[in-house]
Amino acid sequence: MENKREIQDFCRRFFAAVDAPTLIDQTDFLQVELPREIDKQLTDRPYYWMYVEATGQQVPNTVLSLSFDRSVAVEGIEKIEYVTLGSFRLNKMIETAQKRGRVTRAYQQVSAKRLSPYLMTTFKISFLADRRRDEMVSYGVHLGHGSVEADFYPRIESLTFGEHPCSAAQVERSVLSLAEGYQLLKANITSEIAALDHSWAEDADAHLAEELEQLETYYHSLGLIHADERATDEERSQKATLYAAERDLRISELKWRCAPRIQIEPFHFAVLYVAEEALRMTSSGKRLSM
Amino acid sequence: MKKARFMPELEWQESLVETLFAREQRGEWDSWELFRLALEAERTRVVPTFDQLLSIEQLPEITPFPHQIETAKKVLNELHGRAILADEVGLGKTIEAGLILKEYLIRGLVKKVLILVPSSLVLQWVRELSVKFKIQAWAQKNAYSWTDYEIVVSSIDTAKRDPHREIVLAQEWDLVIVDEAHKLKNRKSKNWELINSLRKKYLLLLTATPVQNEMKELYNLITLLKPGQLGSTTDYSSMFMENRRLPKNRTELKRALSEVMIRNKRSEGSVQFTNRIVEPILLELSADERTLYDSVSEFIKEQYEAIEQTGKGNVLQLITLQRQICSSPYAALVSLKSMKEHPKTPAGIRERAEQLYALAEQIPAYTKVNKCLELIQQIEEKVIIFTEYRATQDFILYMLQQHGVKAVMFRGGFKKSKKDWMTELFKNRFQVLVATEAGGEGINLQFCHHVINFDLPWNPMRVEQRIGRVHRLGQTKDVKVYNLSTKGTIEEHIVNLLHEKINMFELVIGELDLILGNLKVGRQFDHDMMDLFVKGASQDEMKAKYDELGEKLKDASLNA
Repeated sequence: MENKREIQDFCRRFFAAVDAPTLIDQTDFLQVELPREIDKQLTDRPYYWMYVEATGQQVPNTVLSLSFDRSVAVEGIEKIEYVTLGSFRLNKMIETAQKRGRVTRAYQQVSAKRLSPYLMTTFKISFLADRRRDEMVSYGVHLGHGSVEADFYPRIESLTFGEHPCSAAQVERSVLSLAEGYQLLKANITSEIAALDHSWAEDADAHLAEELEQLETYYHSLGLIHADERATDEERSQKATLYAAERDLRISELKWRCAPRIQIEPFHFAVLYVAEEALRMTSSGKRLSM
Repeated sequence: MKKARFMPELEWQESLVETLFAREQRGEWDSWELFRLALEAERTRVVPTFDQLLSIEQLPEITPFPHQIETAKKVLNELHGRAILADEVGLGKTIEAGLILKEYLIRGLVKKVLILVPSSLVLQWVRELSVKFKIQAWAQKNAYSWTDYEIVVSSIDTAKRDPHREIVLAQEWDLVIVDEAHKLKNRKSKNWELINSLRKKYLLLLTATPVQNEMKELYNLITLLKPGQLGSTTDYSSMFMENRRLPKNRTELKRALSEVMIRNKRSEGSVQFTNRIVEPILLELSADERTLYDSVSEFIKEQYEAIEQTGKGNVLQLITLQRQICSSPYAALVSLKSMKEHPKTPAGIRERAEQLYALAEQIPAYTKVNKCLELIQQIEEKVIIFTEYRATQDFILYMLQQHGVKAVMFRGGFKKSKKDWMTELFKNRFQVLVATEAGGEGINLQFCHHVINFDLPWNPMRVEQRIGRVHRLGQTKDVKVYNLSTKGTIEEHIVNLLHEKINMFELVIGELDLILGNLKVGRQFDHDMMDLFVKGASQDEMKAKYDELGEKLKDASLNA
């Protein structure tokens, strides 16, 4: 979704997927009617709905007019919303899709083929210090013999899937549980990550060490300045406690901000039944990289 | 032996795994198409590189200037998210802060944000974040706001008070932004102490004047960001301070500062400003105005000398009267009235004041006002008229109304909301704004490009402040400035000096900000000028005074 074409295609597919009828469909313009359940997710007005439902009113469905180009004008339509990356409406649609599209099961739509069971996940991997970089990599584990296939989603992306297998398909039974399958995926990604070049983290760690040293020097000097004052012991120890607390706060803030770490999150899961030869036919070379 | 491979810590976020198991049990599966859409959408939320700005393409409402983009990048990539944004006034520090905030939000590095600004700017920040950056921020309302909202905008005065203080300190703030951060210059203040005690990850301090009066202030600000960056206090004094006000080892200091502070300057030309065309308009006083001016000046001179000899009396009142009489007879009435009515005024002076009052009252028309009307009709576009005095302002407004010219006004003490409303009216419906002050932070008047200085502040920095409201970022046309003055008055001198010196002041224009807040310099300057005028000093002597001011400005500059 990098340009207005991709954004409007996303919107068209989204409204179709949630059964929202399209009223007008033109280049760079879309008018749709929102069923109540979708309205609630896209328009952020919980009190309105509470009121409507409490009073049992019949209200007409909301109609959204969306443009994907600033210059679009449609005769007779006054309120047109301009949709771009980061706009409120698109964010809500993404949020909704992500709430309702995380965990699925699907069968490849081919007949008279043997379908193998896979557990697929896409890991979102974030390389974090005071800055951040992400990668998304997808793997599938065969739930029969446990072998792990890299780059899984791109390989099956173009295949057709449905909720049920076609009548003549033979569905192979799983041997491994989903929990066992996940453990294999996890072990695999862990070793892949370990093999990466982590010089970014080494740099971040060196920077952290530098800032830590600066802090230590500073608080040490504060201690020296106040040590020889003509203060009572009690005053001095009070001050020392205060500085020690402040120093600890600064150190924990610093680690919070600058310590290098890698966050790993399975973004979604799919239990997929796929014909092996379909899987072998498509392949791309994308690998986790650093 | 081979060095052990560095391996950062792994943080697993696996809550979805449990969902998977639960869904399997219930046989509850999401739609394949939504599953695909969810992943495609997530790809827009992936941060592909450490150092590219992702926010730019998500902000169709603004086109940041190159220096603003550079600043945001530098803060993110080189300053590790803790910085003083010290651009000169008018270069858009708020845009820079907004970009940085947006970038951190997109990158998922920041969720919980505290924005501390002067209370008059709270709503404006909320609005600008929403309109320009599509960031939903909330104005703090009560003690629950700190925890209820992710992004809270509040005044620092509220945040440091009970019961708020304790709640604010108990939060973990991913990012804290402090606008007008020179309010943190004093290490012993409650403001400084609050920011120091906050638990925060990233920190941005916005101020055009990181040093207002003393070198110490800079140290205190930087200690909030990175304690020890400038060494211990003793290191700092011995390394970087010539004396309380002046820096030394400037190259070294600049290097150390560059790791925590970014200061863009107008003179660096990252922003193209339109031209400024100044037109002096010298007017001849009418006979009765002349008589009044001479009598009042004579009176002031006598009084001033008397005060010098006896050491008793009110010099400030005389300075004010002298400036008022330059502005308009109507303005002078205010001082004259208080002189003649004040019970402590000696009888002789009272009598003189009464005479002068009567004289001033009788003047039917003001040369300057007539010229003003003429100009407004010629210009036909929006015009701002500046005057130093409310009385003059009232009179101008009255005369404009008499001639059917629609005008609004600004004066000290107007709330921000009232100024916003007046600005709207001026922008959309009225031709003229008559102002006694420049409107202050956050008032944007760039849609207007004609400024009439009805009277001139003696202090050139205040003139700059007036023009600067209009001649700033976002002004697309050349700015025309009309300076009204009358022949044979102090103003004539001032205008001459201003024009002669205008280049010098433009040279150090950025450093004006540094001084503008410093009332002492301003007052001292007024006194010095008064002294010279009354003593009948030559043009050269007054010029020397202006030079001296220019030097002071240069000295105050860290970057000179």
